[in-house]
Amino acid sequence: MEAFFSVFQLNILFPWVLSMVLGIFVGGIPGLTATMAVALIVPLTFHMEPAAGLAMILGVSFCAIFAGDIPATFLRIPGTPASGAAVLDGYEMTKKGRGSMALTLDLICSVIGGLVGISILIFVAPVLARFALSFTNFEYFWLAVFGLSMSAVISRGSKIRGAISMILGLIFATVGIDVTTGFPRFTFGSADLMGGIGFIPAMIGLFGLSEVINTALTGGALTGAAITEKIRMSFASVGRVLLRFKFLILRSSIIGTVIGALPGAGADIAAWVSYGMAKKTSKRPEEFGTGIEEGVIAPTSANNAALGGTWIPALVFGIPGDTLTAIVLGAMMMYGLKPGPLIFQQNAFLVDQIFSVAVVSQFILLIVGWLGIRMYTHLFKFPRNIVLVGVMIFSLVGSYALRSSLFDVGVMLFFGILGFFMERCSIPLPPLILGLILGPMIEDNLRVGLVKSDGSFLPFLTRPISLSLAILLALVFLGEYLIMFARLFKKSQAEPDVPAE
Amino acid sequence: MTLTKEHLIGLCCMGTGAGVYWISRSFPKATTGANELTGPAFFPTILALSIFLCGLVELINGFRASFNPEELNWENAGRALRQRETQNVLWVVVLIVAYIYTMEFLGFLVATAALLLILLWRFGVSLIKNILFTAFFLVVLYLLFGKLFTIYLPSGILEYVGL
Repeated sequence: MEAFFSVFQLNILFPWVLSMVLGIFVGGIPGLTATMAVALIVPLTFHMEPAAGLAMILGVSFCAIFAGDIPATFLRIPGTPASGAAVLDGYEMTKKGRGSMALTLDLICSVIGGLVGISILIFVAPVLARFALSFTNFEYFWLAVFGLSMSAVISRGSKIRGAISMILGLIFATVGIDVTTGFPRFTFGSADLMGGIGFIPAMIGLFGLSEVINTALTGGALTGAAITEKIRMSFASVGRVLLRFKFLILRSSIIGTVIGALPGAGADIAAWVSYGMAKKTSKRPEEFGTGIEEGVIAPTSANNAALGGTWIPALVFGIPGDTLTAIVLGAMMMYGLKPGPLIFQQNAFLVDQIFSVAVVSQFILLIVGWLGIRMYTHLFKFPRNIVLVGVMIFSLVGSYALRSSLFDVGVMLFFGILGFFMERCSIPLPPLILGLILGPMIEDNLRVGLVKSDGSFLPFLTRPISLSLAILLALVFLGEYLIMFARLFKKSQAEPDVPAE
Repeated sequence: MTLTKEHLIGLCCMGTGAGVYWISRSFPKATTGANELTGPAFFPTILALSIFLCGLVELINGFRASFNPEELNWENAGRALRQRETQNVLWVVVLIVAYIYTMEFLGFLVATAALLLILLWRFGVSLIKNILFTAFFLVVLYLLFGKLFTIYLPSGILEYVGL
């Protein structure tokens, strides 16, 4: 309880609520993702105590994910990738003059989803952490590889390009002094590169600057349906709908949490899977996409629940569930914390503070989100060119502020250009980020494991947990082929051979 | 034969792989552990070979007619370079590079103000709005980073006038 009440101190509460307002602002602007909102806020938290910094990061992420649904519902433009699925029925409801109903449903489902995700995190994470204490280098190696592989498998588009992005991230992660031997690698004599590539400037460049370049190049302007209806939050009628679909909310929230907990998957995938499941099990699947409540409830419960889920591998194993938690892990390392099973023992008070912040954030989201919906009905007319310049200048100063280093601004520019070209070549960005953050973990555990085993790879496959993880990894890659073969076999058994005439 | 996106990605990856492998060869051998597997070159070498192979696959895909490769249209690229939007992007890149090299000398306030004024002008913002938003962003950035988080922001030439 002490941890719970400690988060209400002014030095934590004030920046936390402010960051949630910022989350609503950034998340609701199409093109600015929740990941970017977090990347922008991290440099601001550098000089704060870890609890305040993490409260800001958590608050901004919950709000940005919800706020992404606002332009998705009003303009058919998802504010964040996690709002992609919310477009389908939310926008159709707006067209029918029920936009306020859709957004009120959305807000409350986001809060319920968030609470379910956090509850699962609170109960599951400590149990998993005790189990994870028995892990050695061999298990951590496979776990990190598993995290990487998920990103490559789940990434949309070409798998080979997903792999290219991931390997690029791993290569960038090798820059700097080799921790095992102290030898500088790929530094080209630069003292700035000795400590490796700054994760935060790289993130800001990849997601912030590349988006600015992309939008500036396409010159797109905000267009969409005019909001004609008067926005009234009808909580009473929403209550009846929520009661009617209580099981759908619960199921979507659980699906969201589980998907979020998978390394490599995030809120966007959770929302789509949940929408698909809701449609598959609905009594009126043909009406999905025409503006029905289930089509709003399923993805919006799942995307916020997924945030709680992504924190499970991040806190317990130090493995990011998605790009957002990848930045969070970077920030935690910046505070001098070491995410992993030991954090539950060494920083137990802080972990309890994180859980408390996550729960309270949901209730603050109700108020801030409600205000956000009202604000955005006016702000969608704000000139996009000014927003773009604002994002750019914050990206620039944010990269500089971390270490007061202009070199980091250069790193941000490099990754911004790289990110832009990668997106133009349909090479996904998330695997690069995961490679950058998981690279040191994979390399260190692999090399230390090899030193321990006297150069033998056998212990990586003979220990029970590492073998299980290796099999799991093989199933991830070969699963779809096994299912395909099983189906073909079943088909050939079912169809008797037709003799040739 | 036309150059496709797959060819370009493939060649870039193969070049990166070759470069990483060539540099890794100069890394010293391991002094601890049983063999060179634990040395600093071990992991980068694996990565170099992996990205080289991925590049090779992309290159081969570019030659496969059935793969339906995406052709690179140089005429469009030339036309795009002359468009205002593309020029805006080039301005962004050039201005950031200039910002990196001049910020220490000009100081945070002067360099950031110049950057904002030019960018807002390039993005088609009218003069009055340009000045207003530049002042707004400057005040917010200075108060947030300089005062609230006490981050070192160089004074540059303003130091000589006592600011």
